[in-house]
Amino acid sequence: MIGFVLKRILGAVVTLFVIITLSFFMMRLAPGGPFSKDRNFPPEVLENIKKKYDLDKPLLVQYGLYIKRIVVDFDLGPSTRYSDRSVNELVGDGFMYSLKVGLGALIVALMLGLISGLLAALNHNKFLDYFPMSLSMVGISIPDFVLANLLVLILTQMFFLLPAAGVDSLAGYVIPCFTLGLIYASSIARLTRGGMLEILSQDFVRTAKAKGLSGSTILWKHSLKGGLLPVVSYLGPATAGMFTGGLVVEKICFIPGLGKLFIESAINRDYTLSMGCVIVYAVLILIFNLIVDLVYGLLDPRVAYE
Amino acid sequence: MQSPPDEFVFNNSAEPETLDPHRLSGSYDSNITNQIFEGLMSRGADWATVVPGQAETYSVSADGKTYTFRLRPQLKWSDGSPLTAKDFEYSFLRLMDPATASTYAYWFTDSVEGGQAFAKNPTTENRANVKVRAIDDRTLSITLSKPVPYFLQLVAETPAFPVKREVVEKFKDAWIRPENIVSNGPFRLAEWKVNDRIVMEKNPHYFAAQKVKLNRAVALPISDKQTAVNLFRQGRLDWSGPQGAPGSLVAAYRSDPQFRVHPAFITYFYRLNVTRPPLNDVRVRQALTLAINRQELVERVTRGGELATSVYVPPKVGDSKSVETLVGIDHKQNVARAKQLLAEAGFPNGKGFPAMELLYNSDETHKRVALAIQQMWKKELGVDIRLFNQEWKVYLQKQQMLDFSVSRAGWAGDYPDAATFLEIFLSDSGNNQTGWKNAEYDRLFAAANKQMNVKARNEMMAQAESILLREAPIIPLFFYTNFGFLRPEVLGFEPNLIDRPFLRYISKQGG
Repeated sequence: MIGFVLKRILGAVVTLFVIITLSFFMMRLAPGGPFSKDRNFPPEVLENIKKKYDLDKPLLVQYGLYIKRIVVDFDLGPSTRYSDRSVNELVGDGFMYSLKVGLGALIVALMLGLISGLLAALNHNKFLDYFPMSLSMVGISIPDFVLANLLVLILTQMFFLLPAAGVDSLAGYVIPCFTLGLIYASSIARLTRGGMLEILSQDFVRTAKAKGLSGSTILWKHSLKGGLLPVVSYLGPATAGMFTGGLVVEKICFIPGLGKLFIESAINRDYTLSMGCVIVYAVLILIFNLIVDLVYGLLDPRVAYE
Repeated sequence: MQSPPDEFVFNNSAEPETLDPHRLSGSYDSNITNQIFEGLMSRGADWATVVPGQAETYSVSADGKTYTFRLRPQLKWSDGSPLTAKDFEYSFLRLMDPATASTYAYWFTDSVEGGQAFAKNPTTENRANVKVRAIDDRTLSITLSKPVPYFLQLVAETPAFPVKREVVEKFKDAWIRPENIVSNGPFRLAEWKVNDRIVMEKNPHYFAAQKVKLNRAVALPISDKQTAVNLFRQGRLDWSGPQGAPGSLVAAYRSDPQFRVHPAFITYFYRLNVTRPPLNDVRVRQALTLAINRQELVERVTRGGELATSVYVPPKVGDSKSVETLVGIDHKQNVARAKQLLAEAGFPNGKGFPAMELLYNSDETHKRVALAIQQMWKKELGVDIRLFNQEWKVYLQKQQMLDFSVSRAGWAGDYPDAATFLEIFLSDSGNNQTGWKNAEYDRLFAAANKQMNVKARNEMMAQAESILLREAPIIPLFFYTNFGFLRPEVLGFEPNLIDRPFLRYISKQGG
């Protein structure tokens, strides 16, 4: 097991390195730079600024300097746009907000998704199957910006139940967490239903029924573990997605999170800041995938840690 | 959830890049910096007028080259330490020092004696030769190499704001953070959380602190316009910000008494690349200019109360001049003239007109305008144009490299004078981006800037602009508007051309 984990971590490090390298060069290939603006800098000024950020050096040297800085100093550098701020600080602050929204969304997604998925599976082809499944179809099809705006319109403009935007209070988290959560809940519900239906039709379940075991014992003891496997493998990327995927929601709900920073840094060609966001996202996805792999082994005895 | 009567909460539309007066460039930055710093001269609530700021009085020498500013007695920084003419001397030199890398340093390096040499080569000797001198604690003298008729306007803007040497040198780039900053304006920076909020508090050391009515102001960087409107509707914002509503809804909001629309100091125009045939032919450029029905454009397409224009420089407060333009009042006549010009250029009814692209940065309004103009050119001239949109930075680069035929553009004035618009079409301007060069235009502009007589100067500026319009390297379309929701209990927030809130003049009923 420890060997497996070490091997996976090593693999993750290599993947991360590839991601950093590719993003670094792709970012530089994009036309325009951090200092091309609608008002041009005088040439002498531009030279000075470039010097400050090492942008006057050859690209490979810049790459070397960047790698050295992140590996040796754990320093993501100064932001090229927010000149008085370091990327470490910007990303750190933004991540705390995204984390809170992501956690809330995860709870919403799991509660709603699992409950409606189980209900549907246990009431196969009945109303309690059709109803949540049609709802989940709607949830999958509605884009987040539509859902967020709808919730804002109804809950904050028609009825003054919640703040229209901002996360000064806990109430401010309701709309962003629900918007993000509902979208993932829909997928979780469908996966739960599918997984459970498959398990419930297996021979060992029929045997258990024949033995006269109660419905709840069959569900909790014998079926749930296996039935939830598809959900677990989905949860890896989904959790990473919830922690990082609030781009639109963060804009609409005015949350100073990482998603907004990421989009804006890419548009502004803020090289250091967008690289910082890429690294955080990549690390998150790698970590969650690793966790999923480990949990998978716990749930499914057929999977061995090799 | 409404803010207390001594607090003003507003949307600043975006996160400032920096609040350093010498490094900033955007209006999001200067809208904050203007509250926490003040220059020798300052602004009236209408923005266009210059009023005494940290300087009590000033005098100008007969040749218009030497300005002597007399500071108010006992000026203080926000930490209570004395602010003297030495601080201003240091600040002007910091601005002009190429190491500071200021976008706006050229305002002063171009005109202050010794400025250019220092900007090119910042040696100790060149530094000592820059003619900005603190004569005593309360007297600052600035000597220019040529008269600048709008010099006081420049002195009232952010690049001329003072910064405290000890703080800047001690904290380097981080000096502007709330825990380090020392400033001299009516407010001081209390809190700055990126993408979240900027909180300002009244500065008790400001010389006119007793006249400042607000005790606190909060600026929120809300980029989503609808979100700003939603927050305003909930009473959480006192002002929904500059351009504080979705552009497409302005027409619908106009009847709301809390919504205001007023002229902006921004021109919307198209650039023509005069290095590319057939746009190298002035007749083609004129034909394209004449064939556009601007009134229809603002009434049917943009619908935000914009002012249709065939001239380039927006009208300012107290400004009167006559600029010749090709475009007459009667659209039918304009079109007939356009057809004739196009035929003379060898493209009767658009026959044989080469394929051309219209470049714009991806945006719904720009797209609608481009579509309308594409149709107008097709219908009136038989000219076919392909629309081509690009993401912001790509668009900027294409424009800079003259890699376009027609390109959408906008220009916002930095100070209330025609020069801020006309200077970008000088032959050597980096913002020209049309390939158009005209010696007579350059000459007139330079001559106007030597002219201290306001009327004669305006006349020359108008002549220069007439050349620009006749030569038509650009097609002016309309002047933008400023718009946003403002709570009725807010007093003293005069609509101004750049929609900058001047917190020192603002108060709230009951406050």
